[in-house]
Amino acid sequence: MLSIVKIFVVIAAGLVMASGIWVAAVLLRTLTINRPNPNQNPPTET
Amino acid sequence: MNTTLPVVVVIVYVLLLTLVALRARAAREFKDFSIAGRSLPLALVFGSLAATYIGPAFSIGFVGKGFSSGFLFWGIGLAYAAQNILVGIFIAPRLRALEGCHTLGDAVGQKYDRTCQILAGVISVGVCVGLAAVMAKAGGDVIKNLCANLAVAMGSAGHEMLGNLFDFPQWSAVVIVVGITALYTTFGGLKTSVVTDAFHFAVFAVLLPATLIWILLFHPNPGITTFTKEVANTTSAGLSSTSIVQIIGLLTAFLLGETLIPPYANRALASKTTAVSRNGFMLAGFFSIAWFAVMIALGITARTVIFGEPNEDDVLFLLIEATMPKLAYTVLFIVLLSVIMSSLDSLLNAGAVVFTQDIVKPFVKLSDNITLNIGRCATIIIAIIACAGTITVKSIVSGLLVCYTIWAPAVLPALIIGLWIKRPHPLAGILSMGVGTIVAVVFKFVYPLNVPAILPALAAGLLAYALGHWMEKTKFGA
Repeated sequence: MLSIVKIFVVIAAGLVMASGIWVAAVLLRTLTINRPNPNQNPPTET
Repeated sequence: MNTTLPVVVVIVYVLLLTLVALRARAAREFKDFSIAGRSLPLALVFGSLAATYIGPAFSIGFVGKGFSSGFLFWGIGLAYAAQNILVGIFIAPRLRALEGCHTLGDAVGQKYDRTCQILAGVISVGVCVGLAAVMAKAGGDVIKNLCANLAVAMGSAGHEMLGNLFDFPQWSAVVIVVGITALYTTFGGLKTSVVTDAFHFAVFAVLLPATLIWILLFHPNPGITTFTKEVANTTSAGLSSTSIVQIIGLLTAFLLGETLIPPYANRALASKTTAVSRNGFMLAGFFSIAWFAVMIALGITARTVIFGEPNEDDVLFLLIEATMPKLAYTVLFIVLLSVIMSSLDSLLNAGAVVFTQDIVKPFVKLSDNITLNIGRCATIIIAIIACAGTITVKSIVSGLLVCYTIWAPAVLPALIIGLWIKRPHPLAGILSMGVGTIVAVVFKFVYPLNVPAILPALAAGLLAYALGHWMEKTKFGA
């Protein structure tokens, strides 16, 4: 019973850290992505 | 202690936060300011939701509860997880599917009428201001403690002049934390709030579990074996000292108290799609199960390090002080600042958006630019009121409970029933919101009962809704 609690706590800590890393990765991608300038006309197809 | 390193850590943190806020860019339209152009991806909705609900109560508070009653509060916290998952399945996608909605009041207005929208708006702004005042007080406490810590470190290192700079009163600490948060929220709106929330979330979701694992693995006392013994002892002690009525009251408050408060509703409305809205809430619910376990486990590890009966709110500070290197104490303040600012920015933005959309716009036709500027001014005004309101906040938990007690009975019956039934009647909405608010205020402040005020107030709100619905359906008195 107690060893289950021990494993659960370690897994929970791992999951929380993994969530933090996932959100950080998406945040980094969101902030570094090249966004089109809204004042610029969209490129025309040729 | 080396005084340079803590100061460098604080400066790096502030610079990173500024960089993230600047990269998120200022809002150009009111739609950007209020619902981030409805473009938020899953990770940001999830991270921002979790960062908003994890305030001082779900961090410092839960560590203290783990210390005093073991895993009892983890079980009670499951009600909170269930709330998020249920909102994700049944309500968030329906909210997101409504066209042209910026706030909960908009949703209420679409389902009932303009009067109901304004009433929901007034209650929402009141709750946002109340919660922001609680967060401002908590933020002031953290800044004050951080600076006092730096001042002592500098004083003992012989830099007393420099140390005196950090020794300032509580009100200045409140103004600093609210000022910085209001600055980036005012210009960036919801997008900046969500992006900085994700930054704050990444900081504390990595550092606090890492602290737990470090203590369990490397600290000789408690160690992993002692920890498992303490789990059984504290949890059984917690269960025997809490009555069934108390547990039911706590479960109800955790299940309903924070359901769809304005910042959460804004994130449901700002999601890219209905699926993102649903999955964001469900993930946030499942995440809370793991988060509460980590906080409770930190509290239990503290039992073998801290002796005597410390104040529950001090347990996390004492644990870090006793087990971690000196620098970790400064990092802990940074983590707590992240926890508080991520909740505060969401409340400032939600209050400003609700004020503009549900209280000003129903009366005046405005251009988008003017609406955006009103939203920005409202953010600053709410921040000022929150600063002033900190004087009335006795403790963080009691302040939060007052807001939850009013929010759930006042708004939830009308909102949830309105989203589910075909023809909701305005009279039912008005009666439910009015009666729910009045009964909650009366039983919370005037005639306090032995049971939590949220229960009779919720029952009264539901009865008033049923009465209003029946009166309009049968044209009673017409």
